[in-house]
Amino acid sequence: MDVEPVTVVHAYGVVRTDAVLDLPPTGIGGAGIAVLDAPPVSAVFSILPDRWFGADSWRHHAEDPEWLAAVATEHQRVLGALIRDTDVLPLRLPAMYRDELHLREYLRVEGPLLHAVLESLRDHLEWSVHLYFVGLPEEHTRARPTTGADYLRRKSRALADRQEAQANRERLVQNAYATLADLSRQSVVNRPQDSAVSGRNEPMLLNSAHLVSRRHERLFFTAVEEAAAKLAPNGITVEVTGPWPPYNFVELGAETLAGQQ
Amino acid sequence: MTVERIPSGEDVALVDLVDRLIGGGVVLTGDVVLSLAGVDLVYVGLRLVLAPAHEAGPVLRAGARP
Repeated sequence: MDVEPVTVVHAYGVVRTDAVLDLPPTGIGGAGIAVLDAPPVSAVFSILPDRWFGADSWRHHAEDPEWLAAVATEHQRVLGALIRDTDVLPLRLPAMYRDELHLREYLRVEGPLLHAVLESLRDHLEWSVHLYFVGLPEEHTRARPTTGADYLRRKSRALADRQEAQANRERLVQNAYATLADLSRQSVVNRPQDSAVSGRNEPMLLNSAHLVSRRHERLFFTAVEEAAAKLAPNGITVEVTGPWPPYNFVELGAETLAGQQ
Repeated sequence: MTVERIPSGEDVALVDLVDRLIGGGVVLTGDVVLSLAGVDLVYVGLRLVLAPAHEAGPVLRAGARP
């Protein structure tokens, strides 16, 4: 007999079973947060009303930015609290299970691989680095050209200057990335965010993610500051977001996991 | 300080978060709760989180299922 599910299990992330956790008091929708052990790994989860957060809700809200943003933000808030104390494998949304038994079963089957990945990421966090070209102050307009030839000469020089400046910027951005990548365990360059979505008008020159050891965080940030000082005179500003759980470094899809079984 | 540091909990980091939820993280699947099409739609929705109002139209149409 089929019984309508009343609750659904939402998992936030996977941790080592022996990890010391400081759980935030509430998760999505104000629900409590609990830990499900399937040694050597455990999942941090909430039991949510199926009515509000079950499969039908996800389908219903699949194109509802406000609802998704709220759930995503809450999901991240919980992970953000957990990564302060331990390593966490973040789950991609929707991370929903019928009940604890099902979640435990997946943890049991995929546990060895999840544990291996957690070990490989031990004591590392992810940071994002964004470089923006904010431009340089306008040059003073020089005296008006006296002849047509003078005008063309100036125009061609201005174009050459612009091209040189752009090549110079590309070099600087590459150098900055290389320096930060040297201090990171792993780095990836993601597609720059469109200015329409980043909320900034300036073009993004670099959108990179770095897996940085907690011990090297200060070193990393010193390097970021140094890079920023070099970039500023060229009209480039630096923004760092984080720390994040290592989303960019745990791309374990269903296929990868299944392939390991 | 020349570097702008944005904690991952800030609203402005939402774009970064959505980028991650779409492109990264562990997929611990097996429990077929959402059909594949359903998951696709969620990602359309997450992209919409990022899209300013005037761009929402085309994105929405692209993700619409007959």
